[in-house]
Amino acid sequence: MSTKKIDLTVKIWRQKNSNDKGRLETYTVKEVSTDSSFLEMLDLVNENLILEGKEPVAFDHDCREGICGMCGSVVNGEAHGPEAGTTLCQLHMRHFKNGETLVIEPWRAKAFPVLRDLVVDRSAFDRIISAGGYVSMNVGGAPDGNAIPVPKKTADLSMDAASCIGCGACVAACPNASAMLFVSAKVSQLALLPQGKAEGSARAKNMVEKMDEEGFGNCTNIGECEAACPKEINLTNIARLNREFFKSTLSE
Amino acid sequence: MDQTTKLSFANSFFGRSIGKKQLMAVTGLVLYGFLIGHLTGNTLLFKGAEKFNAYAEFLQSLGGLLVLVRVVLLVCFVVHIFLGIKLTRENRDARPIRYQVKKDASNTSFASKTMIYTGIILLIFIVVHLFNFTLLIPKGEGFNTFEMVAGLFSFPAYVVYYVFSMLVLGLHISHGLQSAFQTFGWNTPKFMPCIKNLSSVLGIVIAVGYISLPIFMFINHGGH
Amino acid sequence: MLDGKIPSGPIAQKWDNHKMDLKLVNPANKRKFTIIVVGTGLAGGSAAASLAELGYNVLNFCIQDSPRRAHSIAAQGGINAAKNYPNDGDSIHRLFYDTVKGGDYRAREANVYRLAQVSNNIIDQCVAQGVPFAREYGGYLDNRSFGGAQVSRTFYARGQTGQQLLLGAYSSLMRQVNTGKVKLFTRREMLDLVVVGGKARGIIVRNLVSGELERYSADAVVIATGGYGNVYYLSTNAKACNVTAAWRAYKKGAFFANPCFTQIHPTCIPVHGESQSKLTLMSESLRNDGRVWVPKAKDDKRKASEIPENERDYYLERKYPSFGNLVPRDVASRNSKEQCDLGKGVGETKLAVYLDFADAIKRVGENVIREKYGNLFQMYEKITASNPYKESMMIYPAIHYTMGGLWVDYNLMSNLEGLFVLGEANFSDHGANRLGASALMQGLADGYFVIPYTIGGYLAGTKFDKVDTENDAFKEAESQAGERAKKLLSVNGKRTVDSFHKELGLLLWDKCGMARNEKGLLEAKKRIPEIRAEFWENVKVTGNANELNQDLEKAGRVADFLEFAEVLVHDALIRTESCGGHFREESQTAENEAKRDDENFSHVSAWEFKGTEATPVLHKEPLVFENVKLTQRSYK
Repeated sequence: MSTKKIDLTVKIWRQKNSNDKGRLETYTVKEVSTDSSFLEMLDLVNENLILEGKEPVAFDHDCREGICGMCGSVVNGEAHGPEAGTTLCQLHMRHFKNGETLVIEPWRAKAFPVLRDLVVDRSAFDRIISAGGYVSMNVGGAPDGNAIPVPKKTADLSMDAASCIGCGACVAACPNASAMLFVSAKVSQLALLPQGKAEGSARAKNMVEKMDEEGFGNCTNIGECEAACPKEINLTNIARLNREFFKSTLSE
Repeated sequence: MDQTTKLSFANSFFGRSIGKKQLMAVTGLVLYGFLIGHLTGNTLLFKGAEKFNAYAEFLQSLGGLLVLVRVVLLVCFVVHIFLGIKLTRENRDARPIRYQVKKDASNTSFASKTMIYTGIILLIFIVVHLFNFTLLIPKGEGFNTFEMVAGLFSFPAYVVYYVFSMLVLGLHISHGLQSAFQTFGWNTPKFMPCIKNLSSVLGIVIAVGYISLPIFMFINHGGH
Repeated sequence: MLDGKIPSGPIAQKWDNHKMDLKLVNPANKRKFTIIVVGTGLAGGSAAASLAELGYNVLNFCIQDSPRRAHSIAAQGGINAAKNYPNDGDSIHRLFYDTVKGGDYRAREANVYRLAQVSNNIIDQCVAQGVPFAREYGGYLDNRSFGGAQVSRTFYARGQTGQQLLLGAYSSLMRQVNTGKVKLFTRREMLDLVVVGGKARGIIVRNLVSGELERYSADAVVIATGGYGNVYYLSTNAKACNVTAAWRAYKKGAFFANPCFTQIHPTCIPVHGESQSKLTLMSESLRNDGRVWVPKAKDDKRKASEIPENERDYYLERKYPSFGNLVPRDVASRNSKEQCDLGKGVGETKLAVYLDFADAIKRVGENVIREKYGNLFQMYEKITASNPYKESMMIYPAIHYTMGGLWVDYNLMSNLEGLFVLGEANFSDHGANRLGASALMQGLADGYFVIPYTIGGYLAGTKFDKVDTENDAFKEAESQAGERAKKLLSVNGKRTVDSFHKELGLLLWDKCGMARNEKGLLEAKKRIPEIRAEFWENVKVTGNANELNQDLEKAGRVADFLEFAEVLVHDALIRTESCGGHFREESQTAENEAKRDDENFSHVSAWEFKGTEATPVLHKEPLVFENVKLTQRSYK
């Protein structure tokens, strides 16, 4: 760990509320430890703003260890910044150079309205899950955990999809603001497991219907989502969703 | 999921983003098939006027079948174009405020992001092409198709336009084919790299094939 | 004397008998009851989903933008269950025994036994929900071993078990949202509990987007708002974790039990500097192969690789030859602190010790180590930019979990009628120290398998007056919450909220952290009210109350921490014994181990609020051990 201090110019999107038009504002932040995370750099910006009597930049964050999916901004045009497979909170300042200028914008999508500054409303994701992202079973009726064997390979594939943290970077990065990677991750996780197969096609259909309703764009198989995903969820899941969806329309 | 909404098949399928995409893919594949057939037939230009004219007459002699093929193609064109525009508009609407700075990921292709533009260029080309080769030409007994083609390809500017359009076509279909596979869900980790390569290679082969026609005609039958 | 309402009979039958004795609410009547659930983590999410499945109307609140982000999501290791799939001698009784012993005999036997009993149902439930647990090649569930147990009983989903279990509970919850039985309120922070006629009947929340205060009434209130580790500022908890909901309940009459029982995890990535906002845990499994050491000389400036073998002190191996690097969490943590206090700490801040894999790599090869710990090494490198295959890792202990919490009886109901407390927010199952992979188990046990029964018993056996949000108690609670926000905004001083939080955290870490003594605790007890007083005179909170205002949110939480910290320190001061995570330097064995005082402290300390500046009143719940024998731990 060789700690250095760097100075940066940050241009941050400021927007009072969802009705405000919003604009980029420029701040300088000095003496940022290269060992701090990106969010700790924002903390420093805010500390200075508060002491100057100005309102700090609102940004979402919680666990700061890359798993809760709460944080995320577009940094210099890249969702979660330049490091692959990394959330903003796990992005460290050593990846930036002294004197660099960073443009920090919120996720932009019609389905993710900005609430304030870098904070966006991602409740559309919850509504999509609510439309079918589950196995319909009540507590109490489950058979023994080992009653139905699941091949290791299948369980691993399901886990790959299940590692989605619902941060919304896929939507932010997609030129079409499509939510297909998010939806496909949940559909895949459950479609692969025997427990989720029974209602597989209804799930795909209902979740896609909700996704469209929420105003996300259409997938055109570009792959920006996959590149931006901090959990490296891949496009095969979207193919599986397409398959499940096709099956659902045939089966009705 | 007790309450599945009851919608008509058309609505529940084609009303949904994936349904539209899959229809896009089906029509795209039909057109792709036409591209291959059209190119194969037209390579008879290399064999000279006699063979080519015979082929043209054979096509004309199909009568009702030809009409049917043309209707199917027309429907596919219209649907493909209509959906392409509709999807693009929806996608634009999905992000009303653009980013001030946007950087593309290194692993995404230029072709995938320009489908609507390459599509529009191709649409214009097709209209021009149809007027030049099919609609405005009075046809009848003893009409020499080969001569007509040779005549059109004797204009350098037209050849350049044609070659440009075919390069655009190559770009369009190199993403189109693999995209169709993904959209139908025929994507497995083992299989997909193959499809991607095949899609690019076929795109180049078809583009080169079409480009070779005007160049051959210009050089050999340009008459200048 | 507090009554835990433990059912009579042999321990193995208590829960079954109790379920028979509990009154039932008939299906048609369930829809007439409304239940508030605050929190959507493993405990809150599973409770809200299960209660809605039963037919109750549930109002569910969370502080984040989605229920899926509750901090349960960050749990890595796994979840214990007494399935005995590996055929290695596990049983419900053994899981019960290990948990009571691991908690250093400060937990309620009957609760722990019930926890062990329902542990198996949890695994079944989660598998059926589609949780992708790790499998063996035959397709059956895989297990691994964890600290404090001699059997393999930990089920896991890679290093993301908490995430997968939470997403399972979240999916059940969202299904109930879809049916309309659960009304979900996100980005809401509970600011007060409303008590009417001696019963918990509602809450006041702040809508974090609009800033509006909102009132909600119900027949019962369930709090599942997690632990208070963030009182130390730096911890492995998420930034939004706070004590506010529990604290407001305490101020309304609920007792707070054992606040001094905090868990400090030995293997965290060290603090890098003043701008650090949060600490990251590394799984304790690393200590299976890593060797902990410091330089023998004080203030050694050399790099780890330049320090020869004979100038290194492998102090855990030296002091505990039989357990070596695998001593329990509390012992390992205390020893790290001791070495750093002696001036032998390493790294730029001198607050770290080495965890060295060089020997293990030499012994089994880098590939084997990579297979075992690859993802942890990668995470370490991402954060520190140092390659642990080449350079010695640096670690330091950090606050991680809090065993203390609101007092509850066997039914998980507080002394305040109608207030139920689940998960880390209550005090019930882990005694003075929690074993690895038991937090997930407790959260889900409470939510899926305990509260659905016990809340029914309460609702069926209680007469309810009609109470709505126009009741004076609601008006008053709301206006108090509003006043408080106004007051915070009006101070307009010179220091940021974070600076107070950091100051409080450092003080607690120093005086009431890994080792505590009377002198330090008295100092802290004197200092906390001073910091609190300065906070209310000199804090600077920007913006308004009627907008999204994260500065104001933080200020409210820190204000509560500043009150709560005093009770924590007071509890630590009064409990003059050492037990589990609570180490009083005055009470140690000749071998410097925690020495319990069973004669005087075999009880739960539950504190009653008597005013912010007044000393709380102690209520004791005696702990009776009929099924395990109390012994002194030794790891030599």
